[in-house]
Amino acid sequence: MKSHNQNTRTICVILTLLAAGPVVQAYPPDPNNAALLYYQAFISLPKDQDQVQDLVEGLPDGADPNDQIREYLKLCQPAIRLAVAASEVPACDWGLRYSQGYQMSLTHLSQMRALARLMKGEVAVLVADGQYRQALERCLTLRQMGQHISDQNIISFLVGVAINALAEKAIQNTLSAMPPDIQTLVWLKGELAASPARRVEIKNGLKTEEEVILTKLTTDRGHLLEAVTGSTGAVPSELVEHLKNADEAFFEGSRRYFKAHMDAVVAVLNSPVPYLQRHDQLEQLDKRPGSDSKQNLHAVLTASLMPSVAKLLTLDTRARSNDNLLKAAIEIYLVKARTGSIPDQLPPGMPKDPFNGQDFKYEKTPEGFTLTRWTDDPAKDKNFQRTFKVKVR
Amino acid sequence: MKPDRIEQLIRTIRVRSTPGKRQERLDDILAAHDRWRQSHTTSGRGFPRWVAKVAIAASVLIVVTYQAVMYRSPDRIVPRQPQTRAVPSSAEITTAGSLQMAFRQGGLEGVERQLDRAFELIGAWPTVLHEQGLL
Repeated sequence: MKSHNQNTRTICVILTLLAAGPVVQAYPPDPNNAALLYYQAFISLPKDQDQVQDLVEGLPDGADPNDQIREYLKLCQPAIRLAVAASEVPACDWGLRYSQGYQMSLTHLSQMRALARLMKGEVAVLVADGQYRQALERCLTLRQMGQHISDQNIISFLVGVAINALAEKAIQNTLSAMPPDIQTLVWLKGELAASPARRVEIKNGLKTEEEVILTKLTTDRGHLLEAVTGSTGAVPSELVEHLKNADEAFFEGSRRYFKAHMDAVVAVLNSPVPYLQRHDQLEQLDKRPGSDSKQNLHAVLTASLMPSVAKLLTLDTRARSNDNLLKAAIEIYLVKARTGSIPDQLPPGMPKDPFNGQDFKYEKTPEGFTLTRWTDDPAKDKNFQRTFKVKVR
Repeated sequence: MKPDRIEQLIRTIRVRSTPGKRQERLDDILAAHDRWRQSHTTSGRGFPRWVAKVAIAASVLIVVTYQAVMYRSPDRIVPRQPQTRAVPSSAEITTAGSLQMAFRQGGLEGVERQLDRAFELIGAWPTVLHEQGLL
């Protein structure tokens, strides 16, 4: 009798579990591709709000958003929530058609930039309302958006660098507005350390560039001009002439020249020498196809198609430098939060400036402190010196 | 003289003339007639001079009025201008090649400007889709 009851109970449990299974999985799971959620966020952005949008995007650092901006950001909440959800999904595949070469559409980049500027506006509202922890969470969302937008092509990489710079500026503004709080600062330090420095490197973009160009440099002349130079750019007349008269031997020679040039460039990028040396070597390499093309026709296409890798290296190094500078600033805020005063000198063990491998230049000011990184062009490099305010409780 | 008397006179009268003199006289009469006509008309069509003047004045007035009206009218039909390059669309300026060109010419700032321009062109997506628009 007892065993009969036990068997009955066991069967009932099994049947209940079987019945419950389909109910739990009645709806599809949430997307595991962040790009799908970002695309939904783009669709959710309000329309015909250009003037307010300009106000949000032009809001000066530290300024208090007015009612119009606040109302507009309320309208944008569906898009912002989707972006936050997207930032929490690790994988991000934008579904780009690399087979299209230079005709590949990158429209999503302009939408992502607009979304990023909205998020920065949202941070400004949260800071003005004293919600510093939420503001920093939004900053981390922005930072993750910068990581997600970087893809296996140079332009996406650059837009990722630009969005990351927005995130760092937003963090700087938030730190300057909030009283130094140990718990929040330790949490922020941990989050920055945990998120990867880079999802994609420059050489990934260059590798894609190489494959696209080697595929497109063929006698399929009909689409070559438009495909390799972009539909809106002016095509150099000498390039047009060469392509009109080109035969397979020309393209074969062009492909060989391009491959050799790219191999030389990547070798310099991968070398362990300091930034300045690599930059100088890349500058020389950038000029070489142009000067070679005067006597070697096979260098003409490389001279027209190849981006300046020296510039790419500078932009990448600048982004890494800003990242380290921000981490150094957080350490100084932590000293202030723990001891009650800003240090007179830069504490030891700080992250270094990747431009020269040295400490950032540190100065105390009446309102806080400044940190300055290396730059080769102070006139054009606007953010090489960052000012951090320290709010007194 | 009464008409019946003139008729009788013509039936009975005998005119003595020579063919040469008759032809000369006819030529004289025709030449006099032509001179008279030219002094009283502006053209060979037989219209009086004042009619021609009025016609010319009216034509000038019509032409001037037409020009004035047509140049001021917003609905005028103008000759088709030669086709110039259309403003590029958002899709055209956000291809990989176009953005690469922007980077080569203007660096990262050039890329950002072009992306901002693309966003202005496409705007945001509509938030409301009306039933009529879907059908």
